[in-house]
Amino acid sequence: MTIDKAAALRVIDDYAAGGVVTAAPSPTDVFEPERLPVGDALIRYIADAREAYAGLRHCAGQLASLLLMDAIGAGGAIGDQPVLAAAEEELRAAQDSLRALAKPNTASAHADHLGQAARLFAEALKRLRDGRLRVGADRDLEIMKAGWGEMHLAARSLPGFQTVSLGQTCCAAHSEAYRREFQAN
Amino acid sequence: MQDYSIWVLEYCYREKHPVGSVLYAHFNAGTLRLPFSYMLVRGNGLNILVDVGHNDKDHGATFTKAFELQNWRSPREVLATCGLTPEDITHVILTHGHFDHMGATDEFPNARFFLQERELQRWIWAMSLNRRMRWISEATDPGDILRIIDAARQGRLTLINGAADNVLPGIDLRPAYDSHTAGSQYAVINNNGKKIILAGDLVYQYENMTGSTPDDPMYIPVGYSQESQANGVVAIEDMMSQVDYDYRKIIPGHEDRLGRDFPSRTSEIGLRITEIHLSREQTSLV
Repeated sequence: MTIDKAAALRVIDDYAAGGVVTAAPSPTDVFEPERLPVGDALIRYIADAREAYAGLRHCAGQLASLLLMDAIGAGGAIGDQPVLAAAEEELRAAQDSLRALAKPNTASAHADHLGQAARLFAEALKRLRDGRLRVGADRDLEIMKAGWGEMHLAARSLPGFQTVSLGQTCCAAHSEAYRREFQAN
Repeated sequence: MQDYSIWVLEYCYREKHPVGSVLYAHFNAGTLRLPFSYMLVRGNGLNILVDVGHNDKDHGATFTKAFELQNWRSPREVLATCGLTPEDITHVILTHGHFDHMGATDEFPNARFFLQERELQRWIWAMSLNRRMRWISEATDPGDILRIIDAARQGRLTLINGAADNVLPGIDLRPAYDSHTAGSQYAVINNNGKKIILAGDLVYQYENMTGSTPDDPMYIPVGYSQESQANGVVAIEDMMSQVDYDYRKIIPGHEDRLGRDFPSRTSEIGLRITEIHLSREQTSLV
């Protein structure tokens, strides 16, 4: 496949300014630029999937904040919290974005992890909306942790996705290392 | 009278980090070695950590590789160099909610955590904003929030609202609201009437407190603040005024030159241990 490094670097630069995901339980799944068959379809996928990833990350943060409010006794009626409605809207937009993605074979694992994360967050959201999340405290948190685990797995399978976006923090300079590594290959 | 031993435990480092990320607006000023550390405070039967470092295992190799963090070691490995395990830690003081300070809370199953309530409230608020404003929350890992929920549900999270004296015998917590983060705090260790301050990220290194002209010191804000740099400077003054303006009594977690002023050694796992204070009941680790 043609390696369009300029396009890849733009993706990574944009990502560094925005932020998002990865996935893979085994070390062999960890992103290694020298082994990645970077082609136009994959570049396009990475660029397009960033929006969905960012949306899922934001949704996860919103759901985590609701769980936290409940855990510290600050939640009141969770169903009335504006952040719950915001999380629903964020998830809906991310799901739409996921459905619209053109998924090359090289991105199948990544797309699967994002899809699974979205399903788990949707389940957590439904339980929150239904007020079931407080029942079986371990179960609700496990759903969220499983979803977040899928986000990690996605982030490990392709470049340009991270669960902690460092592009705008004191660590922003670190993204240069990421960029150099990609450029060298 | 209390007498706590205090050590700074490095858990990873970056060899070349831009000075401008440490000292505000020092652009094109070269690089420095940036250690990532947490503090161990021991005494009165307590094993206390100030911050817990970042969670590397969830991020996998990509995190340390992509961002050039070197020799990351787990709390279990780092504490072993001190003869401790994570299970031995009785309390954890979280200075703020950034990923490199609050990331490994699940490693400490027996610890009670102290965090400023405002830090969590602000994060919850930030999450309710639309995504265009996500800069406010980007240095916080949602995974860290999920982990601290575990501690909260188990009754092991104490939220502090403002200044708190003697949260543990001889240890005070002081807020530095709306500075590096909304709910940053620092710990004041009162050892036989002498104070040592563990500053979190309110100062990254000495120059934040001294400036570049020792004869006419000027505080320089840290390179990154989510909230107000002016409030960060006020926080440095608050800390300095409590220790008679002796900056060596304020311990920054990202300072690579602590060994200049305190006994220090490199451990068998290639990370530095610096002994800030040794009580009579403890054995030196350096």
